[in-house]
Amino acid sequence: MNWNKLFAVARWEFIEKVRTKAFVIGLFLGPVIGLVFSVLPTLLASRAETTTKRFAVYDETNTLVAPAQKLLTEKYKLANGKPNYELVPMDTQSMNVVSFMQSYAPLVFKEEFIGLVVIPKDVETSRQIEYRSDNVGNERDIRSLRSTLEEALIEQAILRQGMDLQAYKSLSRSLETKTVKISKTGEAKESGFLETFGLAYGSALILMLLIITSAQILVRGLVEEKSNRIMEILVSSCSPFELMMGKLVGLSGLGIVQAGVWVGFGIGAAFYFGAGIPSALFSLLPIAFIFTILGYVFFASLLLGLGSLANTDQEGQQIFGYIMPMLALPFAFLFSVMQNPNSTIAKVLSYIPFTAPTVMTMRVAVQMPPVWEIALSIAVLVATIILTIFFAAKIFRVAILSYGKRPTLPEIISFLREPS
Amino acid sequence: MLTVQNIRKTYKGGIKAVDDVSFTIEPGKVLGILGPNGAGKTTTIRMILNIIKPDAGSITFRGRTVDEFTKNSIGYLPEERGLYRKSTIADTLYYFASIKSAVNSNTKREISSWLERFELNGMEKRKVEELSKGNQQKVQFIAAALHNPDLLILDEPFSGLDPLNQLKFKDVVLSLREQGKAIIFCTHQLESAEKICDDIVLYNQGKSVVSGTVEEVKKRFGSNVIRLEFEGDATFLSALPIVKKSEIFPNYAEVELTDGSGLNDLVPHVVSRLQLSKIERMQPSLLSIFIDIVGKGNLPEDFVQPISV
Repeated sequence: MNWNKLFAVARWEFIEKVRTKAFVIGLFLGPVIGLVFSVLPTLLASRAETTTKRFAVYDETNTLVAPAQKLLTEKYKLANGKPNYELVPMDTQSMNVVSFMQSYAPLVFKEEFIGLVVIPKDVETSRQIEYRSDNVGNERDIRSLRSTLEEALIEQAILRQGMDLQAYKSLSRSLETKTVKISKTGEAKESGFLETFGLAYGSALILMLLIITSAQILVRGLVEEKSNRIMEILVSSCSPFELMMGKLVGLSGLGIVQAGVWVGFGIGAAFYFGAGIPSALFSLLPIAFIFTILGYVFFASLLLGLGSLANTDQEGQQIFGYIMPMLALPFAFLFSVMQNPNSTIAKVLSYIPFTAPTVMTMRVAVQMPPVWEIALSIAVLVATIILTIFFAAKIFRVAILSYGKRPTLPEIISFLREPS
Repeated sequence: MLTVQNIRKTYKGGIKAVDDVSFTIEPGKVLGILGPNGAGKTTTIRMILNIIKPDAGSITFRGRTVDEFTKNSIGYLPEERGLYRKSTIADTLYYFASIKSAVNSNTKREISSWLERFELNGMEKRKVEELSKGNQQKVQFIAAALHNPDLLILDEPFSGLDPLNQLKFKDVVLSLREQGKAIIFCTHQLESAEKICDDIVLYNQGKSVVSGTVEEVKKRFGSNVIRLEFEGDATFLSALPIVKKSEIFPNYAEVELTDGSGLNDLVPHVVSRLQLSKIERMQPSLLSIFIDIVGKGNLPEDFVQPISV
């Protein structure tokens, strides 16, 4: 093994590929995707509404609308000061429920009302109201309406029984839960669900995006070298193993740069939006980084072996298609592992190379596993990487010089059997 | 310098790509490895370059069995070729030199002087894709020769070149030979090989069917026939002791000499008696020798009629 040649290849792969469009696009696309997924939903949800939503209320008790309207106006206000909701009472004397429905339903479609509400006479005992709308999915509006009517109903009952309304109100305030994570070292850290979830989800996403962009660059490069027969010049100069390892090192350099830029961008964005980074999260970053890099190297060596079989971009895509599901696999277990980081399934997944990097990062974020488990997981990953490189080299050596038809599975197995 | 001894390579499916081939090449010589496509030329080259191992036999370069280290002293211009399209010429050449462990403080200067030699001066920063096909081929040639190898292997170096560039390549190849480099010239164009090669190995279906210097081969397969054009009466020719067989016409004659005698033995007999306008030994071309050996019916289907250089 000639290290100078290996590093010459690594240097070339890094410098040439850092300039490719695919890399530059990937570099910026990552943060953009991150922003879109994290910021956009919040922005959309909190988008200021300007018009008051109206409910047509057929109140058979004839007592609830007024107090409910008062409560609604107190609780829900639009940014411009107008009330968020307006309850429009129906005349229950001149109109029965059926004709109310018939004559007001068209107005819902005309968007004069967002929904029709029927409060039955026996609401106090039946505890049921009816809501009709062309959109029964707007959870937030329905919840506001329901909880307000509920409150009005209770207040009415309290007043009727001569009890102290203020006392009830202060008693019925909801409980708030402050979550504090404790760790073995004894220090108690405040940690929210969002931060833990963010780190786990973020590192899984970073690993996946890293591999997607690198895989494109890697396979496209290999296909170019094969189809242009540059490969002949390369292997007449250095050994296939030096070439493959050089590519792996160069590619890993790209991955580290990319991950570094993204994490830097993330930290910058967090400070810019005033969120800051909790120190607890900071201390987890090195472990997340180690696992992300190990996962990256594992997938990269897998891709080098399999990617060398491709003769065209199309075949490269196909091969990538086989690896993609493995990349997405951890996401299927995301919630299960988050809720129960010490379950058997979480432990098993920590020692499977495809899922270990993501699952282990999640577990570390949620509840620090014993050191030996982390060490074992790293050992399994490193061993798998060495094994993968060993087999990838066997495929690579033969595949880079075989043009034409992509080898079949039995042929690939015969590559593996050939002595080095 | 390079000794190839009884090498064999059988691919999967039992195809004997190279079957018991031997040859040597010395510094300052051009060896032609000739034969139709699929005859085993490229497989032989790959074994010399230690890209694949022979199943049997040995290849030694300056007394050392070829390995990863000997690769550094060999330059290779593959038959089908390409370069990194998006990279600059200088970067590409520098990279190829670096993986031959041949980069030093002079490398950049050498790149410039090679580019100058091929009339590509000042094109260092140009991207490969901006070059014409012929100019790309020049860059590929430089990539093979830049690290100053002792042995240069050129696989079909002239294919796709216009006549002017063919001459340029030929000049460079011959000047490298002058410098004492050994050159392996691999081609299916037998006519072009004849003019450049000192020695040849003629391949057919994995076997070396003829080898030796071009002269030896021609002599071995050449008929000892002399053709004369003249004025005068040539009937005396048939009576000469060195003549085995003759066909004589009024101004033209073909005589076959006895073994061991040659053109020089015939000349004294004819210069005094005939007004000669032309006298020559009929030499077979390498192509006709090849056809002779494998037989007309056995010619490979894709054996292209050569064009001359």
